Amino acid sequence: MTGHNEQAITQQPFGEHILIVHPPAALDNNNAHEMVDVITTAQTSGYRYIILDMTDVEFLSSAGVGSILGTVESSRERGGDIILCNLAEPILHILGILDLGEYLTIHPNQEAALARCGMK
Amino acid sequence: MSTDTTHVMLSVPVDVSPVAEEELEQVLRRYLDGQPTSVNEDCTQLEQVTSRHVDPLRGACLLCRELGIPMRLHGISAGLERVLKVLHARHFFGTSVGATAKSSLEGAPNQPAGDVRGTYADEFSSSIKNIRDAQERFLHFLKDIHVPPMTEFELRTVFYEVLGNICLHSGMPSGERIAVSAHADNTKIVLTFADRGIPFDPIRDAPEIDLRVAARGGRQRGFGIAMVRKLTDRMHYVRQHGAVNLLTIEKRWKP
Repeated sequence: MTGHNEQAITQQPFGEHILIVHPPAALDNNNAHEMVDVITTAQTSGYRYIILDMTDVEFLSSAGVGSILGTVESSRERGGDIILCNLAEPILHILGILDLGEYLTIHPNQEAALARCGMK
Repeated sequence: MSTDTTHVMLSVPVDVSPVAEEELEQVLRRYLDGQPTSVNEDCTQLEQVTSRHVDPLRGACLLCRELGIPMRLHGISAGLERVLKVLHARHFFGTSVGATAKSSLEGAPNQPAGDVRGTYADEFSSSIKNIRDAQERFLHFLKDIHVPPMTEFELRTVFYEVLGNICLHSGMPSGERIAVSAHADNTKIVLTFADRGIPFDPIRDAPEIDLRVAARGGRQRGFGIAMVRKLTDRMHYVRQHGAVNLLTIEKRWKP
């Protein structure tokens, strides 16, 4: 597992069909396009499940929200999903206000997210 | 004048002749070359104050802001306070007024415990890269006035979204200035954003979006105004003098 710094989006394959992605502290206009690239590349590479481990994320702008929202259906059409875990309370609060809490697949931690994918 | 290696205290002279003003600026620039952590302008000598005393203070504040060095005014007399108020200049100095957050409050000494009013002002060059720094400065203001954590996060988000839209969509060349100010009292905070970009009324010109419907269509962009609408209580737009977009946003809160 690579360390995380403030800027980098890091990735960690977990088995054949799962990719764990760690966004940095801010997911905003500066890196949302990169996030989309990471997700869409993962999808076309055959990863059905993409777990976004949001442990380091302190700020999520509309561009960051869009990078997730715009790619979720693509995973679901492939029989998988984009699963968010380890969200800080303010981020959960914002997603709730945007009425996305039930649309997105959200789990409290990585273990629960992996269990959702059928993995332990 | 006294300095240590990081904090500069400059006494503002009573003499406001052009020569004295130029001397003050030269002294300030010399100290700014040393990249101090902060600059404090000691205004205790300014008892009999006129509007001409404000210009060098404003110039010093702008100079410090350009270099990202916080500046505060200390020892503000009643006379200086009055002049700042008459000139509507108090908002310009925002949280740079006073040694502590409390002394930046209007009428602070007589306020009941828990009163949390304050003003803020900032301006910076239109660029996505500058938004994060501006956001940090705004966060300091919110912390100074003890905004509850979730309200602080919502305001931080609103601040970023509005400025992001201005930087990306206003058509302004990079380097054009954007001005932001805020006024908070016990019941609400009012943010005002001013830019010289193309006319855009977010209330009238931006359609309502259902985020879930948009997501099902694979849409990735255009959610900023939707977020601002959901996180605030009121928005007002006006095109001022045919040249300036003035967006005012109000958010109610409980201290």
